[in-house]
Amino acid sequence: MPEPVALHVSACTRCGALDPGGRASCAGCGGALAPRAVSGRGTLVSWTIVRRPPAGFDADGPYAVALIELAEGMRITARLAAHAAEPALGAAVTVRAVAGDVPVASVDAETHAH
Amino acid sequence: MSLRAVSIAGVGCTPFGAHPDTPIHELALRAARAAIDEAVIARADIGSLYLGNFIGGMLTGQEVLAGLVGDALGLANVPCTKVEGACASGGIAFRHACLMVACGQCDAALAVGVEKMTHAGTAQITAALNAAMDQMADARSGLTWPGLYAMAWRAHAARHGTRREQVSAVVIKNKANGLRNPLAQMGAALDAQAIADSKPIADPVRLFDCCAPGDGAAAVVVVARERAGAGGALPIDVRASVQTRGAARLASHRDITSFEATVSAAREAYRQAGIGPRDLDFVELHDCFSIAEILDAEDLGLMPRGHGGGWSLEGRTGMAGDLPINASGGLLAKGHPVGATGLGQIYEAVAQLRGTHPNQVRGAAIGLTHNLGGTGIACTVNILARPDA
Repeated sequence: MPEPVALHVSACTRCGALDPGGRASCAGCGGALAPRAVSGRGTLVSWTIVRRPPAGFDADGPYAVALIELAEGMRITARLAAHAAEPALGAAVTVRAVAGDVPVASVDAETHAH
Repeated sequence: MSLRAVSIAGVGCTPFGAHPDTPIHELALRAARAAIDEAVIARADIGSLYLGNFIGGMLTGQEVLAGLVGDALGLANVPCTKVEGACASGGIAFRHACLMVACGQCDAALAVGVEKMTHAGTAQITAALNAAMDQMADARSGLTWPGLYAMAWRAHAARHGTRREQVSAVVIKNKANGLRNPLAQMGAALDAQAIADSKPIADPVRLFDCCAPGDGAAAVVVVARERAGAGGALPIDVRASVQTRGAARLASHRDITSFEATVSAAREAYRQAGIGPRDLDFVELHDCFSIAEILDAEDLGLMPRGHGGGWSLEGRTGMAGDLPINASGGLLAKGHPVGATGLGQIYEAVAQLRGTHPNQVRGAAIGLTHNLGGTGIACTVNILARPDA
């Protein structure tokens, strides 16, 4: 399995609040946001397999999208790499790639039941 | 500032479904004319127009719909304003029309909601609807609306043990209700097997768990209560009309099985109306997906958290149950021409309160409508009542 990659989220340079990205300033205090590397380790809040992709994503489908709670305490929307078993909610996951701007997480091997 | 009491004097609604030969503004005009005729009001007396629409610009190329409709109706040179809040656009139009009357800007206002979708292909519609996601965040992941509700479903099931047959019971109920509503586009007699066997869309969401795109419009004339009663139809009291904001991104929800915009809107609506959920005789809520009815009903406080699935399967939200939900067929069966939906719900609620609905809830005196947009980013909740309630 590939090693974890550097995952960058946004952090407020004034109050330290974390943001999943795509914004220039902090929703809490208005401070500037700057990229911050995080571990990429987290747990699976929920997931689905999108079988009817929107225009622009046809070539990708079907694909799994997941909501992940990072160890740093914030949540991100990510892709979930394909794997054999249906992952349980709460399973440990790690972001092991970033495709475009989208993190791609894998379920950690030790959480597999088999 | 003291606010005036507001009443609904007239309502109109086109059938929801495919209207291939009717331009979007004509759909809006049909509903608006019906509402104005029912209110028996002179066009010169309408002091404001709000029009709810979500993706008309993208799918039809037509913008300035509010002014276009106001012009075609022959209104005076009054403010005509288009509002957009994804699937809650119609509810937002209604609330703003109520506010204009309540604060004394005018004595009568018109709210219209409209959408035209069925001429476009599925991928184009899906992409247009995805404009309600934060384009810098969720939309980049390839998330879809069925996908978002699928994730909420999985989390609700893990926490509360919600089963497929409980969720399917929502579909069976609403599709059956739709068969009794002549304005509904997709009423059907379905069994659980047909739902479980329908095409997978975003696991565990299947085709029959999803509302269908549609064309349609709905409209409401609101007036100052002291002026209500000029028309032939029974005026209906607006006891509460509330709009809230919720999380803009999936990752911002503290709990993906609950929409804080709905919870906060419901709390404020009950406070304004001076009632609680137990005082309601019926509810029209935003069942864009089968699981959404369960989440929304719990958020509205209609049953304890985690009991939405059980109530559904036990028939407690059916026509003969404790609290009928979506007697109209809801979005699942009446359809979801997005910008029209919130006003379509009010049309259905007014018919229930007048006792004229084709799928009548017996003794309906107080009802609630709930319209939710996007990731739960926008919500409106209205409480409507018979004047004698």
